[in-house]
Amino acid sequence: MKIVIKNKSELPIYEQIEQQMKAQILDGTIMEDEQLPSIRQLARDLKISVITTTRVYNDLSDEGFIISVVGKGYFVAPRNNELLRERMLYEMEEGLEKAVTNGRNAGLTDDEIVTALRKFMEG
Amino acid sequence: MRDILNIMRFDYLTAKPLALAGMIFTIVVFGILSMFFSPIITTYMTFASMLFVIPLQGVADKSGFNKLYGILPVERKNITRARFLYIFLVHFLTELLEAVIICTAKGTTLYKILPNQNGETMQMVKESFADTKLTLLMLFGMFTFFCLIFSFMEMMGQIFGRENEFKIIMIAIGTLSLLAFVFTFLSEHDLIPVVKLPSLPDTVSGMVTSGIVANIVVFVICLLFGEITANQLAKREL
Amino acid sequence: MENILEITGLCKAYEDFALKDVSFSLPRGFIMGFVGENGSGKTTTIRAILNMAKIDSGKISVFGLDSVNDTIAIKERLGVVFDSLYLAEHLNIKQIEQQLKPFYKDWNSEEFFSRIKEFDLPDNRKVGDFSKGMKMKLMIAIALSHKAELIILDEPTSGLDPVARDELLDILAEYIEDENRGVLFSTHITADVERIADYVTILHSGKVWYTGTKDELTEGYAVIKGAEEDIPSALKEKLIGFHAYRNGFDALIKTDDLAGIPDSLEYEKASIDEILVYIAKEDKHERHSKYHEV
Repeated sequence: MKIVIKNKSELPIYEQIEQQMKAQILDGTIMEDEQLPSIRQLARDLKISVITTTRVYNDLSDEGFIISVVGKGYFVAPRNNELLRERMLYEMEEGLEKAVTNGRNAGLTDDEIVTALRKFMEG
Repeated sequence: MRDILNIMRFDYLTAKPLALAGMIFTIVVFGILSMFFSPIITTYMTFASMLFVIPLQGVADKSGFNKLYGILPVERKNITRARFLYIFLVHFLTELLEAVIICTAKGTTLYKILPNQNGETMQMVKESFADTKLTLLMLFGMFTFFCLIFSFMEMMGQIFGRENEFKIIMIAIGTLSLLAFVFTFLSEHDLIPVVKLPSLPDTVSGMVTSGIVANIVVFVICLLFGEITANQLAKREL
Repeated sequence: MENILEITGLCKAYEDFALKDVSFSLPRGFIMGFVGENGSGKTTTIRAILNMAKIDSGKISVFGLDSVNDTIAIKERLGVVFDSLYLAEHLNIKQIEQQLKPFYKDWNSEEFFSRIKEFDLPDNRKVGDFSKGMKMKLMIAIALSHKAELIILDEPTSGLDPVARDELLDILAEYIEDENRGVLFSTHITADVERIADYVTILHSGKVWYTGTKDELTEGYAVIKGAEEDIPSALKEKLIGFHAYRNGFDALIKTDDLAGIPDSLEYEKASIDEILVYIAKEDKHERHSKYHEV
């Protein structure tokens, strides 16, 4: 897990961490079932407040990215987790929506956008 | 009590690096001199006791000990009490050490190896080795005088501030001299009857007994000064 | 949640300065930044916690113990870092350790010397010759060696270089990993506590201006800027530290008061530093407005 905190960012620290952790969970950098550092370890490593890391873990478990096991700590939620799947679908739709809006704003027809998407998917 | 001992140890360890070399030098020089010339010389070692007392306040001011006193888990009054016991102990141990050196000097009679045993100077040396009473008077007298002076100065310094200490000492000495002068003047002109001081016991065992009494009295006075100072300081903030 | 430090209604008057009804508390397991301009009363409050200053009224409890009656028991478990060293300057670390050891039941010499090594402190040099950063680390090592549960730091970073300040934050971050501990960190360099502090108490002119979580503070206030004539009249009195200049104004505002402000006014989140600046300006502003009314 790699987290970079920008002090000068407009985003609050907890949101910066949440975004980076989500991205790494989604792209598999942090494997499913992997144990995460404890709230206090993470605060120590990043030199940030415990309240901030508590908030991060609470938000991430609410959204289904991680799960808390009593007495053991926090783990990355399994991939087949319904909540996480839903969340990923939601993120995908959000991304697509943004892509479509941007495409239309740029004056592309819907067909052109679909072509672009297909090309993108074929790599 | 554990607190008081710890603070005394703390004071000793503070003064040690600054005082130890001077103390050893004094012991060696005065020890050798007294072995060969006169046991009474040993009693001048009492001066060296101040090496262990005088630096303490300077270090405390310079190093911000009031902050340390604020964070140590020790009752504040005990910090003050310990200082007075420490002053007593330093003088008392010096006195004991002097007694040991005096006994050694008398026992070893090293002066006998000096040349010109029949010379005039040698006669004085021999006399001083033969005398015990004067040596004891000096031993107890020096102890009493210096220990009282230093604990008095400590009390005045702590209550009225170091910067006023010298002034206070001068005033105290001045007042005492004036009183003594007036008293002597009046009695010499038969304006008041002369008070006869009880004469000191004229035997060695009598001297030792009054010496022990002097030690106890000085100890009690040190405790008293410590208590007065502790109560005064406890009213203030650190 | 148990409070490791709790101050209620603390009052303390000096001739030229007074602490007025200071109350705040620090839950166990967290770091509190204790900020305010020089002379706002931070040091007096800390001196009161240590029973060095006698309180006029109010109550301070540390570990649930009374700061006046149980001060000895408290100090057994308390570590303090002052802005200057409180140890005999002519002694070296080994001699200092000898001196302090018997005062604490829980003193651990092994721990002390391993910290000294970790902090790269020379154990044969006079501590008086140490740099400010080294002195600060020595005081921390002492606190850590008698298992202090609460560390109080009084302006530890004033006069420290950025590297030493960063090292201090590292040490505190490590210290607070144990959830049974607490840290009260007094400073006027707010960048130090901006990241690491869980709670913040702002002292201003001897009174508590804010106490609570840091997030609520930094999310609760914004800096607002724009043209003076665009400020709705209802909003004007809610502005803190209002400052007008030729091309506009700036001020601090509670984010709750931001609802319904005109688009022509811009705002961004406030740093603790900015909050402090506007609190100070607010005082001057009062004087200005009186002047204008004349």
